[in-house]
Amino acid sequence: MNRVVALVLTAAAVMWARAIGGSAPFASAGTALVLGFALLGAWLTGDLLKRFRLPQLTGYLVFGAVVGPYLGNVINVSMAAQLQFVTGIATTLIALIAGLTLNIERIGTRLSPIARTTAAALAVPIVGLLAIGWLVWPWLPIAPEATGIARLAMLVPIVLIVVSFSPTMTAAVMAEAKARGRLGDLVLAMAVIADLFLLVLFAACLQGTRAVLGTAADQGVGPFLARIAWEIGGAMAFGALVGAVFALYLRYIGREMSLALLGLCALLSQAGSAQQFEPLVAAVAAGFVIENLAVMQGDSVRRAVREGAPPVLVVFFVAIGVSLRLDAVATMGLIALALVCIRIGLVWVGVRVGVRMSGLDEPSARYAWTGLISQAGITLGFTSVLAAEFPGWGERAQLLIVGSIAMHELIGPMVFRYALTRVDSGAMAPRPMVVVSNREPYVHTATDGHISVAAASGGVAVALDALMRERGGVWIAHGSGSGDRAVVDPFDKVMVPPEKPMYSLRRLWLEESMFAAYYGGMSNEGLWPLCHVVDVRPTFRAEDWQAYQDVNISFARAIHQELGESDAPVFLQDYHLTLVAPELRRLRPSAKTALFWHIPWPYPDRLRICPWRRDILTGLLANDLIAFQLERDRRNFLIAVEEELGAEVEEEASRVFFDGRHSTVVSVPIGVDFDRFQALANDPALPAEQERLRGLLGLRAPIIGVGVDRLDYTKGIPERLAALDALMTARPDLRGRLTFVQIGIPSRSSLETYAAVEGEIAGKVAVLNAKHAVAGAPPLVVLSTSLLDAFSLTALYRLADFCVVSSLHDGMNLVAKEFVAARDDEQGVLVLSELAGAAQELEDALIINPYDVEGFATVLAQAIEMPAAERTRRMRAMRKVVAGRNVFSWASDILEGLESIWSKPLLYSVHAWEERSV
Amino acid sequence: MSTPLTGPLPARPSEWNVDLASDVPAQIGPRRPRPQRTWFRWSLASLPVAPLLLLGMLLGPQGLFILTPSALAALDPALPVALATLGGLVGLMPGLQGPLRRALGTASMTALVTALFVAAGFMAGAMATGEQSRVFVWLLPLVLGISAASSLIVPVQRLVNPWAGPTATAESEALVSVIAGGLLLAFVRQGTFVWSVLWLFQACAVVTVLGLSGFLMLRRSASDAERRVFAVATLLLVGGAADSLSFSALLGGVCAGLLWKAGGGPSRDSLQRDMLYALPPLLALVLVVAGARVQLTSLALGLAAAYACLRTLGRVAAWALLTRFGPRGTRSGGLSLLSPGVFGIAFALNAFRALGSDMSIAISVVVVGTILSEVTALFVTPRGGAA
Repeated sequence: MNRVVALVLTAAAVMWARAIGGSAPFASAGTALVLGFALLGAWLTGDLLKRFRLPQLTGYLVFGAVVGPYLGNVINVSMAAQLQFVTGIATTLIALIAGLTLNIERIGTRLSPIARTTAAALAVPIVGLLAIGWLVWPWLPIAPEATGIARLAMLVPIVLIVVSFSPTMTAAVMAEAKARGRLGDLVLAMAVIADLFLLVLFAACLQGTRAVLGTAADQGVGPFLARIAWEIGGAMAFGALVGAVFALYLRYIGREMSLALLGLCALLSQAGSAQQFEPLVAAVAAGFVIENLAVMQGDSVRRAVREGAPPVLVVFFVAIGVSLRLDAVATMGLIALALVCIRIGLVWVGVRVGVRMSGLDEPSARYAWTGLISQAGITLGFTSVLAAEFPGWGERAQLLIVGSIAMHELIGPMVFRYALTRVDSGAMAPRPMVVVSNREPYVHTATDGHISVAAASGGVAVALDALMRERGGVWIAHGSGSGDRAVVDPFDKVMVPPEKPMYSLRRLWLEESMFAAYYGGMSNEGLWPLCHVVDVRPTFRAEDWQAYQDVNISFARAIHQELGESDAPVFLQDYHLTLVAPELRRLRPSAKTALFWHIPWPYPDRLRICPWRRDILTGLLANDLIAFQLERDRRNFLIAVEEELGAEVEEEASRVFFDGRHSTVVSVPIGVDFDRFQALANDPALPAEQERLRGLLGLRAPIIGVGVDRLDYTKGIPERLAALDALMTARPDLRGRLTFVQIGIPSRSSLETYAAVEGEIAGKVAVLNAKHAVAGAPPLVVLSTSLLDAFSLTALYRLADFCVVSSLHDGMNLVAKEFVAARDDEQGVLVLSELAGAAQELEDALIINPYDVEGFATVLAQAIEMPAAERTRRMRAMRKVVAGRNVFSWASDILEGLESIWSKPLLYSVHAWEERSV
Repeated sequence: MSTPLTGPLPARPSEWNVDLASDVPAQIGPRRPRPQRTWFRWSLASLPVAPLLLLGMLLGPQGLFILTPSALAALDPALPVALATLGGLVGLMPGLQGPLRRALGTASMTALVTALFVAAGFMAGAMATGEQSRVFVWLLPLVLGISAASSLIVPVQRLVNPWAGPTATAESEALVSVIAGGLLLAFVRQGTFVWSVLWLFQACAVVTVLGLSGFLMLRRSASDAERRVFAVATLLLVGGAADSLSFSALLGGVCAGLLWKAGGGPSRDSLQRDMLYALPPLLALVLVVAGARVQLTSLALGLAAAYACLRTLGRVAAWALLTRFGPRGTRSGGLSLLSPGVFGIAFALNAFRALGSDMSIAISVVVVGTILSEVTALFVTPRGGAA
């Protein structure tokens, strides 16, 4: 409703301004007003059409046509002329974006088949239209009297214009449809390459036409060639120079990027017309230079395009809509319609031939032509040039072509969107993926000849399992269950989940000694203490390192085997698998891999403890995407690769260039399955489960605290017990009224450090209970080493008045988030260590430093006595945070991030139009 | 919710839209200084006015001819948007409480004295030389007087800190000169006072309605891209309406800014954020264009020298009056307002857009006069006292 009111107000105010405005001293006085009106109205029209599942671009065009001089006349002819001010900048921007897509590294391997397809898709329509045009020329209302070479000189530029495509429209429709399949990629690449070729060809051909028709300033072959060289070569040189200067701007100033980008486009557009060279060629050259030479700044440019382009491009499409000569359609309607049909038919044939020549897959062959129907900026730009250069026949040709553009524009986006929908299994449906982790999502256990299966209950495993159910593919993991071997097929695979098989679990068998060295040794005695700042010394042994390398190679080979011909993305989990990517890349250079590092990344001085740090860093940089929990981990990693490997780091773009390739480094905090915990918290059986737990754990005290951890030295459990001791000493009135439940799951108990901490905790609990015992009252601390399932855990969380997370160092700590997710009653207090990653997000928790025992105890007292209103306020705030960042969006963010590395900048530019927060 | 990744995701909402380089969570271990991005910096509070004007003169038709007349014409539509943005920020300034209310009286006095000094000086000069034209006898002196009356670069400090006192007088001067400028342009257009006021109300109503429609759109924006589109459209509408009405874009911006401030909420914050983001390059553009439009004739140079002298004298006189009669707490810092800032140039451009090429001489005078005044301020302004 607000929008309707706003639009009505805007239209009324614009009319009012026109009524009282009178004559302004400058012709450009109304330009900004028209631009604003066009922008607002077009956006809203696009939004309206989107509700009817129509492309937004069609909405912009329709708005332009409706308010334009040929229909509504809200934007009259002089105002429409003012809108064309944006067209120059926008077409240059489109050409610049096209240049930014030309990354040699990225398209290198696919260039050949795409180029072959494009060549055919261009050659067939050009030849066909030339032949048909030559035959029907006497009946065309352009210059029927022209014959021989003069006719050819007129026909060739017209044909080139008629054939041209619209990369922007193509990309925009793809972004709307959220298509990332082969069809979209192919069509977009074809449109860009074809238009680049046509740009050059058109400039050269125009020179020829001028020479033949005698309108060229310099007659003769020499001046003709010199002029072409200047128009094309000069434009390329100027564009390259401007691109290089812009790259310097990016590197040394890098501010107001979007505006600087638009300034660059304005400069190219203006300089092109002033210096008589082709501005679009210059813009493509500039984009190409920025993309390939200023590689470190490439992402900054894409971001700037994403932020700055939408308003310009929306106005551009309105300008196209406004300029759609509906009168031309009326007068030349039948001829234009025939032209549209012939063009579409020839494009269809050309694409079929091209696809057959290049051997691309069948869905692309069937539908690629649909993405080449649309025409927009470049076509209009060509026609404008033709009309300006050759008044008379050029203007008549413009009328005809613009009539056909109107038809192409209205049907092109709809047909392409339909095609994408038809091919959605390949283009829009989720693509299969490969997940690789040390631990498997389903463990088969053999007990007395009977095999049972249990699903992993950890938050990450649940999220990845859900993702795999949705996308399908293969999960590769170490087969650790006693019944694992019994259920796999000859290829070591079993379909899971057992109740409804949806993806394959490929098990990797590791010898016990090798597993002990790789997992217990290198991973958990070396890397784990290295990355956690606690008082445990990392142990690095050469034999562990060797086993670690061997196991990683085994994982890489298994991935390679499973991928087969597929180019599915590979999602590696955690610090156990740092060396998988380099081996996989050796076997398969085109592999797309992302690795999520769940634990903290050490600061540089600590990292130097590791004798194989450079191998690990090199291994990680073999991934396309490396993701960390926190911003500080990401920054520490970037410092490490810069210092240890001398890699080139672009901090703002968060990319690293090393060993001839790029890796993107991001921070994506992990979340929990919020909805699942909500559902569990609202389960009618929850009160019964709470009663069961009360009985089981002896929870009779009126105040209950809870801590849920693996028994790990990083979790700060002894410090937590010390704080409870201090609290009880300071507040004896709490004795007998408070019970703290510590769920402590034994973990890696075979390692000395872990066994020691388990013993220490058990001892401290006993001492504490004895010290603060009250006759007949429940004990202060209840230690349970039993693993609780999610439902019981939720019940326990809902029983507790407060939850304590006192990690000495933690990547994230999901217990904190689980507790918040379970408390939809908006009660309960979270006491959270500032050394846990979760503290970066949960600012409304009571933050403690586990090393400050007295302070910790004070905060515990504060948690116990916190007023209900404050508890509610804090919990409500934390729940917003946790709900907004669930584990599924975490996983899909990383995968989308991985896939977007390979998508085109054009997608970035138009994807922003469709961004909608949920 | 899914977010395409091209870089780090912000760890918490409070980090959004801030410079991560300066607001990152505490980092473990040493942090190395970043080698890049230190060569060239500007900020809203320290815009290099004189160098940008000189750059414009260098690039303009009388310099290297890079900014050709056609290029300047192409850039023209951006000017009212920049001016409206500047005015919008004045309108968004915190209310007239505390320092600003006290400063308003002071500012009115200093602005009036300076404007009168400059206008009277030029009128007297025109009459003394027997000049008969309406432009030189009263229109140009009044435009120059109003251009000379303010000293503010950008009203940004109090948007960040509502109680930052030192800029209050300068902000109030800007407000006073914007209103006076709006009235003058309306009067020139309509010819009589009553019609001017009526027309001014209508024009203010048009831009306010457009500001309101943008504000309403922003209240329902569903994404960053949409928010950005609506914010850009709103500024285009406000600036464009003022331009097409030959009305003061600065005053139009003030009207819209006051409305947005009254409306409050996320729409206001969003507009303010986008305006602050866009303003430095827009102002740089304004200054470069103003510089490029300078015509270095002997008349213009002579008038510019006179402008700088009269403005300085006006400032000194205002300061003397202030010292003697001004309220307590506002008597210091008068000389710190010698530096002219950008509002004078903005108003000269505004007058040029609204009144036509008759006012091109005003741009030349104000631009060169501003450069001279900046140089004067370098030597006269007490250390640390810049407005």
